[in-house]
Amino acid sequence: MTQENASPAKCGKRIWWVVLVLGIISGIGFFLVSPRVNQISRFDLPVSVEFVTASSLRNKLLNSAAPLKLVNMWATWCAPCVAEMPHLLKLYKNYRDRGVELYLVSMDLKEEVRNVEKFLDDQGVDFVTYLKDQKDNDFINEVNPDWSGGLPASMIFDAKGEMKNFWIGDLSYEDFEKEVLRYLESGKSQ
Amino acid sequence: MKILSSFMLLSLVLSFGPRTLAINLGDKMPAVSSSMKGIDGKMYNLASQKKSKGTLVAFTCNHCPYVKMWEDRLAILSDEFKDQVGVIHINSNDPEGNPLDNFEGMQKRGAHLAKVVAEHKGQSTKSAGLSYPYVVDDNSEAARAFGAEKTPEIFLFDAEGILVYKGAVDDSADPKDVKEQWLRMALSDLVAGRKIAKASTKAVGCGIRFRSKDS
Repeated sequence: MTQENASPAKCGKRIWWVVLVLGIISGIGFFLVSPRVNQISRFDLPVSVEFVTASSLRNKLLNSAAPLKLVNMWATWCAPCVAEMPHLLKLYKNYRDRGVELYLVSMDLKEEVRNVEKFLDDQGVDFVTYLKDQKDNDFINEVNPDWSGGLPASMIFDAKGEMKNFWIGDLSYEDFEKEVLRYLESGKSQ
Repeated sequence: MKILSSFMLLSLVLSFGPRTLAINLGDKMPAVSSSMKGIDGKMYNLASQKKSKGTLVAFTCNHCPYVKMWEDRLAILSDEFKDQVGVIHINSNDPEGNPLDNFEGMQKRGAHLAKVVAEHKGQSTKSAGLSYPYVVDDNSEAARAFGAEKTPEIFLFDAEGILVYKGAVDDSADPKDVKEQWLRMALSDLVAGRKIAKASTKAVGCGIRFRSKDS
């Protein structure tokens, strides 16, 4: 019988084949069942968009010791948000060395993630951003019960994760800078 | 869970733009003196839209992607309840911001929605016209009076002109994810004479681009 005639070298080869096939199967399985809900969607762009709920966003803010965290809720379909984006990005570029973190949270539909990434890439964004993965009203009420849902909406958090300010409406670069400087300076004096 | 509310010791709600205070549940329908031109060419007065059970005022527009995601459901609901609850859809946007929001654009949207409603009812779409007024708020007086800030945004008044529902059409812009039809529930409660179970939700949509007051 062939099995009886199998040499140790052939058995060894067979084992390696089995290992290889199992490896491929488990690799595919892992890819299919891995937690893709919160995965960072990449389309070979420097920017990436991670799905968040109000709860996971809060955890990110609490886990960061940065002295000032600026959170901006926006959407690709929101004209004032789009107009405001270059000011925000300029601000981040100018102040990230002083510990300012920028959390861009898109309110677009999840299915629009590719468009969101494309838009951000066109704006030169090369860092992790976020996209709401929760029903609008649940997200809005959990982020801030005082938030009417109007966009853009921005919040400033201090090093401890306490919200220091919240506003609705687009700002100029100068107004953003005033807000950031106000809280950066007050944070120093505490 | 009020995620960030625990942080709100120093929460300051700032407003950097020219905004007006929105009317709240229990408030009377604001007076709007200007008559507004409908897509059918007729002039409409807000106060005279009331029917036996109340008035449904929807701030909407033509260009907004969020409006488009809700507009079919809103048109069908508006048509369904229009005999008991007077319906008026208002476009307060300045078309300078987006030319799609001009009067011609409104007529196109209206024609499209009339077909949607006719199809929904299994009727011929050939000569379908919109069964409720879609009007232009050409100095944004109505939006300012209501404190409306987004499209789509819904204000539902009872027969006494008291605001009894305010907010969104339903709980998801994406039709396949709708679980709670808030406006339908509110209209059903209103028509049946019941207290509105969920009277306040948050509208999400495009910010209204206000026209200058003297335009």
